[in-house]
Amino acid sequence: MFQALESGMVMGSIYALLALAINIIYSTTGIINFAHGEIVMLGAMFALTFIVTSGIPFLLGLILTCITVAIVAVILYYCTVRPFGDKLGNSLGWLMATLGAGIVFTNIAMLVFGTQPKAFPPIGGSELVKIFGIKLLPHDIWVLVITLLIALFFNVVLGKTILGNAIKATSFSHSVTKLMGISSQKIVLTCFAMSGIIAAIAGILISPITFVGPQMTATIGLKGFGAAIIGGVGNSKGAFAGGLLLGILEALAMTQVTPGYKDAIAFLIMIIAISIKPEGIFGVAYEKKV
Amino acid sequence: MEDVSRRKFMKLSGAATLAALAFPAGILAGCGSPQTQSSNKESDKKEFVIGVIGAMTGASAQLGNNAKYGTTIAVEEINAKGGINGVPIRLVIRDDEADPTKSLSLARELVTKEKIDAFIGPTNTTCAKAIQPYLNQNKIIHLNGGCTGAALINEKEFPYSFRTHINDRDQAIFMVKRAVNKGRQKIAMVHDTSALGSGAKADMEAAFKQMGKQPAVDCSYNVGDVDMLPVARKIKDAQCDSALFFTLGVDGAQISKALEKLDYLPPKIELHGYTSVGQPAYRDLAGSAANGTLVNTPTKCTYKENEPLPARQAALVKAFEDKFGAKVTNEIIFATAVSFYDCAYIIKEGVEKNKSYEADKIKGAIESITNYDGANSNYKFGPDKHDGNDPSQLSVGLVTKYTKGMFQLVE
Repeated sequence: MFQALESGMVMGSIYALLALAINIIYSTTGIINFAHGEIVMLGAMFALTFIVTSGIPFLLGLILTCITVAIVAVILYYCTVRPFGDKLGNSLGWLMATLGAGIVFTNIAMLVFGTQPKAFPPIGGSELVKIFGIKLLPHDIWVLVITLLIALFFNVVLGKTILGNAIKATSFSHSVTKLMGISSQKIVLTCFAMSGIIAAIAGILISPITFVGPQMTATIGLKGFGAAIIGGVGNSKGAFAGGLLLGILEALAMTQVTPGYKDAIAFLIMIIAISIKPEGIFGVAYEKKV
Repeated sequence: MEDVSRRKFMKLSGAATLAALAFPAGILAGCGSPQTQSSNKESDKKEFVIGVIGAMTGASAQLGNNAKYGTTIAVEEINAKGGINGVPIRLVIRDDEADPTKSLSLARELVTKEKIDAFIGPTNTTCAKAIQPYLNQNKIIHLNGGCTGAALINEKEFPYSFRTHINDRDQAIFMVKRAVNKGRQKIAMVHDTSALGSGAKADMEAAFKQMGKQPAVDCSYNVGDVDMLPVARKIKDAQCDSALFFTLGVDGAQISKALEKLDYLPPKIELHGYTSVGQPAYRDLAGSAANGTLVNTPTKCTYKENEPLPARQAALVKAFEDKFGAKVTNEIIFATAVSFYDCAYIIKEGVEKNKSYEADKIKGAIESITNYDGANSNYKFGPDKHDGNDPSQLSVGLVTKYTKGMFQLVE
């Protein structure tokens, strides 16, 4: 049971990381970036190239990966979101554009990096350590700690900084933000870059667990969206809680149900959570206007 | 003079009558007899076209490379020795990206535009299901070198389809029989929920029934699952002493790593995988958790401890490396690549046995092959046996002891 709980927390942290990045973009643009899973995959690919293949020290490799993926995320914004203007709610073009970009990223990765998954060394080595009778990799602990730190960081940034206020203003209305002297486009760009940085970190954290390959985020990416919805889209606390909840419930359910039904269970949890609380755990409840 | 003229006239008129009678008959005979047509066709034949379809890009690219590399080397060898019946082979290779729809449209293109005489491939069972009916309707001799779904070979439904690679059912029987005969008491069946995994489950269950045994536990999972701890826990909780892995390399590696977390690896349990566990991905990704894992492998593609590689297979490795680069054996599954290599040679054997390019005659000739010394295995075909391989050609190798894509023989 405890081993399942630990495994669920690690997977939940990964879902939470994905959900956090999805939320940042949603909070300023009101759109879901459907290419986010693939950006995480690119993060893993770049990290593999910098750290494993080129032998660049881990920290420097991490910084380089973050910069590269942030640039990719910004380019993605210019290509798939910007052309539809400020009123994205009036168009569904961004939906197809981000979905299409995801497919393009996967194919480019196949072409450049190959199709076979590759191993990525876990942070802290591959020796299992025993804590309270549970065998786990030091990497698992790193995943939990880093996810928690990133969630806290975003909580502070969004709640207690000028940037946070600007993001909130942008999410309210781009036009009003302009009147207040804030460049909404710069804020959106900053959010895309930040989502890229989180994607890069997520890529590095996920890699030793999923292995690095073009399809590495195919299922996990979907569950990241699920975690964001369970927690309440646009809320960093919700993303963290939603991810952890999904991961833990999924792992605990697997102790009773055959693992072949794992994905069905995960999405059933998501459907139940949405039907009970459509706005998500930390989301703002919809009010009926009469 | 008059008599002579009459005799001459009678002769001429008789000959003319015979000729007149014979001419339409000759035309009819020419139209109706495939033999005559075939003889003309054979003498006119400038090239023998073999079409190859496989997944050469995308996630299944390794499978397509097996087909591409294996057939290319075989055709180069055959052409260097004069071709088939003195006619050179032209190889037409197409990439279906493991997409059944694309596979079928490419097969149509090969038959109608390239006018192929025979076909080798494809590399995914779903693609094979899509194109086999079309190939058989068009009487195209079809050699399957790598799709392992047992149902693909059906002599009545697909009379022109043959296979060189060992199929799933035979592998399942081999693995179950071996485990039971070794005295394993609690055997786990491990498979995914795809068509391949479900088929393997049914095959293993049938083999258990045949042996009068029951599996201790049935562990299924979704292809690409990241957290395989539930699968590993199920194996450990049932206290299994053997686990039969019908898994792809990556999934198998995830399960072995999860078993490592539970401290339940060999020698506590014997892990025995079907041929896909021999993919480089398994040993590369599982790392130390791969130690002790056994894998099915054709006996001919193994080597004994402290002995060199078998001469014929070593020569093939060299040919692959010379043509496709020094690291080629890391990009392919050697045994499957040589299974495709054998496909080209079996087509050659079929054509040359009857000195005919007619599909029915090639089919009959292949069916009469009772002991073909292939690079992957010895093949035995028959009118009711289009699966040329069988479990007697299989051995068990150690996943972590390998050289140039061949495994060290364990038993």
